[in-house]
Order: sequence, then C-alpha cells, then structure tokens
Amino acid sequence: MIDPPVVLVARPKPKRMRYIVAGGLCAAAVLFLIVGGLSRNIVYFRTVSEGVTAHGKAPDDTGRLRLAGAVLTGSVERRPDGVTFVVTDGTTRARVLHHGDPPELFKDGAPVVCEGHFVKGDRAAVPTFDSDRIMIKHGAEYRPPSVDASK
Amino acid sequence: MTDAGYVIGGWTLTGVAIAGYVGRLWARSRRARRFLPPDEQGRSEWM
Amino acid sequence: MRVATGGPGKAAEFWARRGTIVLGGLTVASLAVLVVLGLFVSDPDYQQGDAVRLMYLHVPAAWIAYLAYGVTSLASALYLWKRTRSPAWDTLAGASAEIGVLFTGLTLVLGSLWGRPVWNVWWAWDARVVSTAVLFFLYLGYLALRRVPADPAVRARRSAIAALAAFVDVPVVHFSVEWWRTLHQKGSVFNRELNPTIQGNLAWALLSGVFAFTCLYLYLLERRYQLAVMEEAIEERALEAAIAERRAEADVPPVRVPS
Repeated sequence: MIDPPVVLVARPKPKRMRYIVAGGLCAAAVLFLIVGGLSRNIVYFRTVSEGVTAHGKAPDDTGRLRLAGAVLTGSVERRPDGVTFVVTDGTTRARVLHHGDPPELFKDGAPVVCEGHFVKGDRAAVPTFDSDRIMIKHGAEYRPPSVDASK
Repeated sequence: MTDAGYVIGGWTLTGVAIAGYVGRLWARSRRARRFLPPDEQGRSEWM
Repeated sequence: MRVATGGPGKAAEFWARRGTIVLGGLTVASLAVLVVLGLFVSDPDYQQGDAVRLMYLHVPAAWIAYLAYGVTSLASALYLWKRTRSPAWDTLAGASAEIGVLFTGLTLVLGSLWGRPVWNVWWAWDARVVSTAVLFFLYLGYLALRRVPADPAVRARRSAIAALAAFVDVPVVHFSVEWWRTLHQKGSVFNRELNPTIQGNLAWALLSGVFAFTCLYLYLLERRYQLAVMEEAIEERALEAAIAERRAEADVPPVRVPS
C-alpha cells in the first residue's frame, strides 16, 4: 500500500482566489492614488506670485489651479452671490471673485487656498481670479484663546 | 453641522471602532478556545 | 505550538500573564483620562475652536499606525534574518499590521471629519492625505497576501518582504508635509525644529491621547497575537487530523506527522 501524498491533504485552497483578488484591488487602489491623484497634485498650490507671473505670460490660459496666500485685511466685500477679496503672499496680489459662501473660518488675514482660474485676458497688475472653492490652510499652532499670540 | 457635531461624530466613531475590534477579537478567541485542549488555549485573561 | 519555539514567544509568555491584566487596566484608565481631558478640560483652540478636539484622536491614531507598521517591519526583518528566524515573528508581524490598518483607517476618517470644519473640504488631494491613503491600501493588501494559502515558510517569507517594501511609505507620509506643498499642516510636535507648537491644556490632552493609544495598541497586539497563535494551532490540528484520516483510509497505521 502506497502512502497518500501528504501535500494533497495539507494544502486545501478554498479561498485562494478571493484573497488574490482582494490583494489585486488594493494594488490597483495604490496605483490609482499615486498616478491619478498624487502625480497631478504633488505641488498642491501656487503662491500668488507664481500664479500671477504664470498668468502674465499666458493671459488667455484659463487652466485650473490652486492659489495660496493670505486674505488682505480690509479687502473682504460680501456680495449676494459670494465674496470678493484680495489675496497676497506679501509681494504680489490677486483679486479673488469667489462664488458661493466662504468657509466658516474665513476672515481677514486667514491663510487661504483658492481653487479656480484667472479671468481670461485679464492683463491688470492685480488680475482677477475666479474661485469656486476656498480652503483654509492652517498652521500647526494650537493654543487656548487666552494665551497671547505674540508670546 | 456644527463643530460639536463633527467632534461628537468622530469620538463616537472611534469608540465604536475600538469596541468593535475588541469584541471581534474576544469572540474569535472564545471560539478558538473551544477547539483546543487547555494547554494550547493561550492566555485567557482579558483584563 | 508555535509560540513555544523561541523568538518573541518565551518573553511574551513571561510578561503577558501579568502584563495583559495590568495593560488592560491601564488602557481603560488612560482612555478615560483622554475623554476627560480631550472633551472637557481642554480649551477650544484660538483658531479652530472645538474642532481641535478631533486632533486628540487623529494624531494618536496616526502615531499608532506608524508604531504598528514599525513593529511589523522589525518582526519581518527578524524573520528574514536567519539567526533570529522564528515563525512567531511572522505571527507578530501579521498581528501588528492588522491593528495598523485599523488605525490608519481611523486616521483617514478622523482627518476627514476634522478637515470639513477647519479646511472646508472632506478630502484634499495633497501629498499627506494621499500618501496616508496609500499606506492604508498597502497594508490592507499585505493582509490579503498573508491569507493567500501557501506553505507556511513560503508565506512568511513573502509576507516579510512585502511588509518591508510597504514600510517605505511611512517616512514618505511623515515627511510629506516638509518635502511637498500640502494643505495639511506641518508637524506640531516632531517638526523640523523639534519645537512643539501646541500649548497649555491642549498639549496635555494630546499627550494623554498618545499615551492612551499606545497602551491600547500594546493591549490589542497581545490579544491579537494570542488569537493568531490559537488559530494557527487549530489549523495545525485540522491538518494532522486530515492526514490521520487519509492514512486510516489507506489502511496504514498512524505515523507522527513530520513538522
């Protein structure tokens, strides 16, 4: 009588395909995130200077971009369909025309990232940027309201 | 939703996730113990 | 049983008998302290208000993800190194990775819930957020790979290699806020200047979160490891039984299974 081959009994493969598929889906998700998401957004925003300079070179280009800067104090004007304000990085300014309600933490001096595009053909020194989304870029500083900000 | 809503939502979700995981470990361990003789049951202390 | 074959088994055995009980108590107590400090004692942030309370879970969860994957990598390396090779390291690597995936998922969801009120978006396609999502899927894939049936030694070896490859993303996640422009803020504790930028009772709440989650991680790891050891023992017994059955069918007297 021949010994039954141990290997046959030892290796039941009931759910093999399921886990291979699951692993494949995870690999696909990783690829999608890196290629589809990250590669286009690795530079998440342009500073106002970079954005305005690029717009000056190609004023008819209305490609979407994110523009980062601080809300110039006193420049905020509420409108029925949104808000306008000046965004600055200290050296360069752009006027932002935002459609929709600004976020809760939007205020004078707030560091913002605006998503949208420059107005086509706008050759003004302070060009207008059409925005449909405002994000707030917070610093990593946390403190109770009572602590003096100037330290 | 107010800030409080996000905070309560996040903390509740964290609690449920942790409790759910502990519960799953506990149930699987209890089930596993039934298939094993006492000397192979590992440590049964949970707390 | 695999636990008794050296590696982390013996040390774990010694500490864990008492350790589990102490650690379990410490975990529950420190989580209670976190709830009190995080939800009640901590002041609202000067900018973010109450939304900052989500940080007390989000940051510790991210820390546990790093720690868990660090342990997985260390155990995987110790498995691959011939002098320290033990199946127990493989078991430990798998146990830690599962907890890591849980906490990476929590980090992402809590980050999203925090981002909506303070960034004004649920999700940002920035380097920090996307590399964290990549981390989640890398280790979820690792857990799937571990379950693809194969010879235990083959499976352990390829799992260890996959774990070490996936760990490359951990420093990418951590330094993403320094290397690239992101919407996500830079580190407030382990930043480039090593100058914590969190003050007052907010810092205590965050610290208690990190401590509580570290205790919780160690507790979960020990429990998950125990479970894995038992499930492996059951598998082994099932295997032996199946072999014995085949031998009986073949009318051969039962022989000890070579291990």
